[in-house]
Amino acid sequence: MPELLDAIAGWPVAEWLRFSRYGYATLSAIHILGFATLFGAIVAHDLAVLGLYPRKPQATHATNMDAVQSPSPLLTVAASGLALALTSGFLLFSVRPHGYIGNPVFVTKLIVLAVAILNVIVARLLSQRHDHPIRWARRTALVSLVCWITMILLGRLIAFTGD
Amino acid sequence: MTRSRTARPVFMARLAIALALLIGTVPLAVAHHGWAWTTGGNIELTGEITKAELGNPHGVLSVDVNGEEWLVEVGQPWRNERAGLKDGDLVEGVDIRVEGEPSANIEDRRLKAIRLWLGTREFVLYPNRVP
Repeated sequence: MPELLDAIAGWPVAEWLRFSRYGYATLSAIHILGFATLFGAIVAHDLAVLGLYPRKPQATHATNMDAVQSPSPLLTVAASGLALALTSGFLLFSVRPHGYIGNPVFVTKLIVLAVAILNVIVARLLSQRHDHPIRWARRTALVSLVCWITMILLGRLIAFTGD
Repeated sequence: MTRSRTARPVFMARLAIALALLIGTVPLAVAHHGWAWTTGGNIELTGEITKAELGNPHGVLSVDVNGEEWLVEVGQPWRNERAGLKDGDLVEGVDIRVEGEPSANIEDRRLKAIRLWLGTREFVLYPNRVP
């Protein structure tokens, strides 16, 4: 593990970011753009699945199922945000890998990220189930909301902990 | 009486937010971002640098002050450069004098540097904060 961290830290891109003023600042902004896009889209999607948007009087059970079954454009937007956040996140990590690995807040954030991604995978597999699809979709949405809210809190906390 | 159709989803959404806040605001170590953690009063330290970890997002020096190890936060690379510091100035073995604000809990032995001296040369990191 230490050798891997050394290798990442020694990467020329990481070296450049470590001492670049506007390069690092821009990367930080890109990371925010990524997770902001992800978070906004996922919250809108999850709240729809949880049934929080008022339904029109003539709407039927089918409307609720729509939010559950048809792939939402919000998920595509969220996925793009996640891709941006992951890429920029790795680059930010490469600037001081030893410091981040040694920070329990950061390590917790990685674990929560794993849970969030696992949640998506499990949801995809479970979408094959035909009994209680709404209930399962809502459980997924609940876990998703908890994970991504926690990710933002932990992400901000990193600067307030460790060295 | 019919129960509101949005009662359960609203409850679940509130539960989600409550859970996230609970997990996300776990008790922390010292909060030391920016200047909020400092005393507001300056102190001066003199010692030898035992370790220098410079670079984004923030640079940190370990300084041996009369046998005690202090953590001195210096600027990001652009700030240090602007102050006149060059590569090789802040390295292990160098004698340094630092003026800055310590952590509110003095036992932490943490200082955020406002300016520092290498020999007779002065380097000002935060010009607006020089007393």
